[in-house]
Amino acid sequence: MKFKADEIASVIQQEIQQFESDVDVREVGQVLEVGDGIARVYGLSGIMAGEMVEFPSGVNGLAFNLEENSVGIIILGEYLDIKEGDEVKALGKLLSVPVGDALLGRVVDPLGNPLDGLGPIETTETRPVEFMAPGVSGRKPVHEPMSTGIKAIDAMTPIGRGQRELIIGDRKTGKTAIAIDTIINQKGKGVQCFYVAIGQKDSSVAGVIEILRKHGAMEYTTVIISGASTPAPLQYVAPYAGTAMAEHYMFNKGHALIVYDDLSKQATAYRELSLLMRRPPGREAYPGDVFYCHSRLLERSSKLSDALGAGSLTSLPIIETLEGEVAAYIPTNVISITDGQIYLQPDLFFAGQRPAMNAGISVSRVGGAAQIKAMKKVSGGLRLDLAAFRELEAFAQLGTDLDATSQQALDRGYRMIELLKQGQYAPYNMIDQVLSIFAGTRGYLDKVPIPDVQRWESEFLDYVHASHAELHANLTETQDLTGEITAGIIAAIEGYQAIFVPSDTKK
Amino acid sequence: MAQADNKENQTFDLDSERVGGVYAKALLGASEASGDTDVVIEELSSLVHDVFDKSPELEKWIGSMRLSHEQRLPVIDKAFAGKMNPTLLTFLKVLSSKDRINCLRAIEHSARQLYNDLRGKLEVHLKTAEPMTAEVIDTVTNALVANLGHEVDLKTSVDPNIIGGLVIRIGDTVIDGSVANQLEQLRRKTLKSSQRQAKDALDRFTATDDE
Repeated sequence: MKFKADEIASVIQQEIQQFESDVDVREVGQVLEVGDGIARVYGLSGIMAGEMVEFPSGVNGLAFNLEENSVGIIILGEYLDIKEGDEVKALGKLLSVPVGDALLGRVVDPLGNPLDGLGPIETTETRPVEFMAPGVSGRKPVHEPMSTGIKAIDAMTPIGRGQRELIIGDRKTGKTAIAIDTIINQKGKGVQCFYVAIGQKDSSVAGVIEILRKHGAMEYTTVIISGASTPAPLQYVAPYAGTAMAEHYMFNKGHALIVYDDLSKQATAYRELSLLMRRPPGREAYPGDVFYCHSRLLERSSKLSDALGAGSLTSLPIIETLEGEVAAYIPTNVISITDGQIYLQPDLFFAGQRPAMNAGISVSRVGGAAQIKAMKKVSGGLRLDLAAFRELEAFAQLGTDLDATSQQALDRGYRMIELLKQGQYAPYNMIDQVLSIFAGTRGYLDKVPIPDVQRWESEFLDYVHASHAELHANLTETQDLTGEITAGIIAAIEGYQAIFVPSDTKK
Repeated sequence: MAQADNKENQTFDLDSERVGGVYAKALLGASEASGDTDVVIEELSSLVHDVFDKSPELEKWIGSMRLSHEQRLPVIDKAFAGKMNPTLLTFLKVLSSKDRINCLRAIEHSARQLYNDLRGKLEVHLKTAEPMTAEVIDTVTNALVANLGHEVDLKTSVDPNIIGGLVIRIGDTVIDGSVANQLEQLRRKTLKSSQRQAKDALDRFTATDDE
């Protein structure tokens, strides 16, 4: 490939001809000291908190601390080129990022600059990164399901559009996997997805992008990266920037889903900034306003009222705990802000129960309002039954003889656990989930050997698709378990039971 | 560009600047009382800019914490007595007794600002690529006075890096009419639009080898 020099020259010539010089009036200050992603600046006497500034190298910053004689600036970018005495220019505007459809399928940094080498992002609109959450009158209760495609979650801790559901757990317990599956499951549902990677290894983010691309999920997804190697200010700003991009859809009658992976790293970045700015440290050395840092972020996810177009923004914040310590500062903060949590446990994970959700302490405070009627009918009480089963299981390990009822509850529990296991990147559609959970909770699996449960389920779903397609279609249409449909499902299950051949593993 | 500014405002030590503010206020109060503020300010400026700027060793030596007040006093008397306004001389002795001579630069800076405030003058820094003639300075001063509605304390400096035009600084506000700034604006605009056009129609700019 060759470049045509004269064409390029003509473009430049055109620009020069059209150039109208205007005198540049600006508010300035001088860098007193710089380091660790922050700068202290003398001057800038008229600057406002949160206002953007520009350094001579073209890097932007944000006025963070306004002090008597100086201004603390957080530097959003490369800070090694900035020297003492450099002129800092106030830009007179708040930090904003590009928004719009041009971002879909792109990988960007928290300022909206492309990182994927697919050329510049052309948008006409921008939104401020810090934006006040909609007020009480601008909202309405969450009522539509935001299906994750994961049986355990859709049945026990359903998530609604506009809800904030925390995913919490130790390292390597499948937190990101749940978020990725949820994004993959949004295909064709009109939900735009945003994955904000904060302080993650760039290699794992590259892996996530690859998976999303392979499953065709990048078409409706934007990935915002502020990796472990980027300075703390960018990691701090990343979730707000991602939310601004997602809000664009919410305020334009659309639906969006945003994943913050993970907020504990953002809190750490914020702690670093605050300590460098000499704000007083509080518990675990976090600054006093770290709660507000998360609450104002998560409060921006909402279900808007009909007057505002009924758009929604659902968020899945992720928090990593250390050794299962949910009582630490940041986990308790975020648990109290969100509308429920999915708690993932390492021992369940290693016992092969994946997703490793602990049914006892995982909740969704929106609950049944975010489920289709059919799912509500089949899964009611499932979470409590499973929690009770876990207790009974612990008790049964003592070797005591159990009465028939307890034994039956145990048998049912083992099969439900087996039924709720699910592979990665294999989201179920809602109707399939209803059918399999129906079989489990109504006791149709009690006689199926435990190792066969998963095979029974997948073959049963194939059988329904093949031989009872009209039942599937009816259920998809009504979304409810009418008498007729219930009878249809029972007939299908019985029809399938008759031809199911248990494998003879017992030998 | 920033370097030239540095020389004008070297009070980057925020602590000594705070101290400077306090002493400057006191000095101005005393000199207003004796009615010779203009002379005091002029002499103080000359001390800092004509003496200290030319012999930094003297500034370091006299400001040094290792000297006691008793050691400094005869030197101050010998050097300045009779040649300096008595208010300023007393002030220097007070500074010496408090070990604050090292803040003199900050004091001078603050005192000049306070003095300008007092007289309703605005300090304006003017930067050009080449030294200005007296006529140009007059024209600029008159224009500034007319536009700002204030008396102007004009400080000029020369910086070849701005290529041409004027850069005016009033407090923290910079009015930049320099050629360097315009070229930079042009560069940014051109880069942006070329980038956009290249994305819209890449084939317009490239030719395959067989052409």
